[in-house]
Amino acid sequence: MLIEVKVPYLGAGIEKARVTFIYCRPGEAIAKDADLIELTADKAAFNIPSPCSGKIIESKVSCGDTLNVGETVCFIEQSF
Amino acid sequence: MEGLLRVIDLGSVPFDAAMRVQKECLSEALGRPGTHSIIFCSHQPVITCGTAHRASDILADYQTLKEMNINVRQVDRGGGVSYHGPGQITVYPVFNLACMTKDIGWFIRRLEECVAVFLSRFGVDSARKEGFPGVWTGSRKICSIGVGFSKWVSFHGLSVNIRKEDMRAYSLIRPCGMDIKMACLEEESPQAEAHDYAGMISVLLQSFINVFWPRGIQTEEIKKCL
Repeated sequence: MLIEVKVPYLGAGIEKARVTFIYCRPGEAIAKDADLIELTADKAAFNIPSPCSGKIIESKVSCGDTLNVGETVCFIEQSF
Repeated sequence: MEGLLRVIDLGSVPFDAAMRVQKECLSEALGRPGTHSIIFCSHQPVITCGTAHRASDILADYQTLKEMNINVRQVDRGGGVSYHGPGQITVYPVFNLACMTKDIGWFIRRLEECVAVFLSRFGVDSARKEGFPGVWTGSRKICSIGVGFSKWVSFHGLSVNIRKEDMRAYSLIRPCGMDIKMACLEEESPQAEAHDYAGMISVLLQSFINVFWPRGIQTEEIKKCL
């Protein structure tokens, strides 16, 4: 099953965040809860964890990109 | 009462040692929701570079920093370049926001409020500036904030400038990437000299409890051997 990972709700008034580090790239395997990317907004850095174990099929972001809340980060082919 | 707040006073400690304690607390908070930690310390001189820093925000060259025995560390918090030294109190709140409010702005505004409450105990009026996180006395910044989150558990935190003899080190950097002047409590309040480090920690801790847990929280003092 293909899982779409989106930028989650970060708090009231925070609509955008900048990608400051990418931990995992397309083709790589990833475990549930492992970090996918690091975002920075409002003097805070935070990692987006993977919602499932699997393999990253497609990434939609590059380092330095500014993402909106709800925007797609990547697609993961879930493994069981 | 809700949850448990572990209080850790490291005293004067190298930055790397405090980072190790933070990461231990982070692991514990992830495994035990409802358990939070707050770490107080002052650092030996160090410049830290957050995820939004630019190399040009460190104004001193490598040789000068080496002669002054100031280390530089790349860190996993938001914000730009900051200085930490013995004249500050640095606070690392390792709080599990999953048990509170999952809102980054909410957390940072409350950190600012904690410092404002602390400063008010010394008769100092302070304010926040929209778009410029931290705590300000007039046009000068007295407290810098930069945090990180792992699965909604916070780490890193804030530093409050206390003693005036340590302020010259700020000329080595552009704090938070801005051309600003920094303030310290001793310059702002004649009452500050009468309080030692332990007394100030006590006031700060109470400010954090009042702001984050107005109904109270059980506290536990933790000793750490570094």
